[in-house]
Amino acid sequence: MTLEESIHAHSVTTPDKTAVICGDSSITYSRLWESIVGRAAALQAEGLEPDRPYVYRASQDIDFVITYCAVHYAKAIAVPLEHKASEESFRAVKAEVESCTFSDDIVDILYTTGTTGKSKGVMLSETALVSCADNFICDLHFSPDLLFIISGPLNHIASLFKMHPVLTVGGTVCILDGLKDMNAFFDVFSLPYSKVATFLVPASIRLLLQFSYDRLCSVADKVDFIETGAAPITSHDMELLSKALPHSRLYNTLGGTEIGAVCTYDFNDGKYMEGCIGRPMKNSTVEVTPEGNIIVSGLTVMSGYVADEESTRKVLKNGKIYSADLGYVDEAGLIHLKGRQGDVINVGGFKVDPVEVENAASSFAAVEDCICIADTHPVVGTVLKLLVVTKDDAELDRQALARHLKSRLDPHKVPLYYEKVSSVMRTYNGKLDRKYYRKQN
Amino acid sequence: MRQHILSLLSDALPTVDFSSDFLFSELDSLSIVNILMILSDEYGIKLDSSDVTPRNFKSIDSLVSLVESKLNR
Repeated sequence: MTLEESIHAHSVTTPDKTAVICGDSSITYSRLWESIVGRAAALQAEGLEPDRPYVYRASQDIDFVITYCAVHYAKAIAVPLEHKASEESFRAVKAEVESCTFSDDIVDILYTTGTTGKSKGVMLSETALVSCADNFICDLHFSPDLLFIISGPLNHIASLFKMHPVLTVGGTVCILDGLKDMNAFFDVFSLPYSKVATFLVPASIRLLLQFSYDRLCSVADKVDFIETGAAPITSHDMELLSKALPHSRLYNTLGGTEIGAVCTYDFNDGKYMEGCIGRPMKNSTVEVTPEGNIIVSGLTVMSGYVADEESTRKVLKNGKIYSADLGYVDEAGLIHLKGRQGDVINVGGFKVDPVEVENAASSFAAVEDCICIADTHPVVGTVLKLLVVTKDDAELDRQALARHLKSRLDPHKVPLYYEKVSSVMRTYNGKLDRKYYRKQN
Repeated sequence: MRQHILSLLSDALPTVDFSSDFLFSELDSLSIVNILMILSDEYGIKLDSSDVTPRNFKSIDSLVSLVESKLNR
């Protein structure tokens, strides 16, 4: 059953139950269904046709849920972009998807970081979405009495793909605008729900442990489970979180836009195995080659990249995704991650291609040369740093450069740190020497 | 104190417009963490998540007031 069919079914069986909460607003299943049908009709009246893409900025509210489901109900393809996506990237995506034709099984296109300095549109079928939700429902035990907090951006798989299982089983989604208002996060626990769950990237878990440990302990009885993923969580933080929430399930999941959610491990087991992602979920198969490459297959994998057959062929072969993740299987059959191939930098669960940042920085008049590297923040872990060689050795106006980047890039791609350098390291053939900087970090 | 805090925060977070009276809406969680860390370290005060309110983070002046209130305790 699709997400929209499930919402329709709940609108009949539990019409007055709250489906989504956001701030002071909420919507029941019956009102949600009415709104989806009404919005679909409005979009069709505006010219939206079946199997055609609908590109929009993902607002962090109930309206997002209505639009997303309405696009599906109209048999069209949802293409939600970052809420603060620049006009430039919005126009580029719109032009790209509108120039393509799509098969009738594609329902979502999610833009993710590519390896060429340009985002890639990941095409997902209805089967992939339904199977991914089924993986979560079966392996993480989503239930109808659950209140699930979504604090990450709704165009990102880690958030969007949690909305599916919650609403499929008839639970309640609570949408927050990030974790910056931690009081709002803890206020959710005073709502009349006995089971609360959420997904938090490791950086957000670190934030809670650092600034809200006592408050986290005080709501422990209500926490059904917390899932993390998208970036490595340390054994130390696994242990601290387990101590704060001794009776909760605490999952570390392997997921990605191209593969869906495929493996998970409950680390509240006294072992706190860093890098462990457990065993494959119901609809997924995970293989690790003798060389350590992780290959994923099953019902949750993508259909391909938009307008990029070459990249699709490199990654997707015979229904199997050859991921950039490296790992191994231990004696107990548990899968462990041990790194990632390539130059992509993982910032709080968002994958950033440094080339995209460097291209944007190079368009700033005072930049002679630059390289975007990973640096370590004392609380949140990996952040971006831009090393800049200025023209004529002029002073670096960090604020002007940062604002230039902010106007051209999604917010998570704008470096936090900037440093003026006399030169950037290059290899013998003139390419940026990223390995040198990785070793330094 | 206002000028010093403004200088410290502007230096650490170059994309943030600290002249805004809607500062909280401009910040993301990473910016909030940085502000908490910088003010805690600089003034030897204890700040935690309960201090992160839209009122305390409304503007540079409200952040200065937050620091002053912590120092006076």
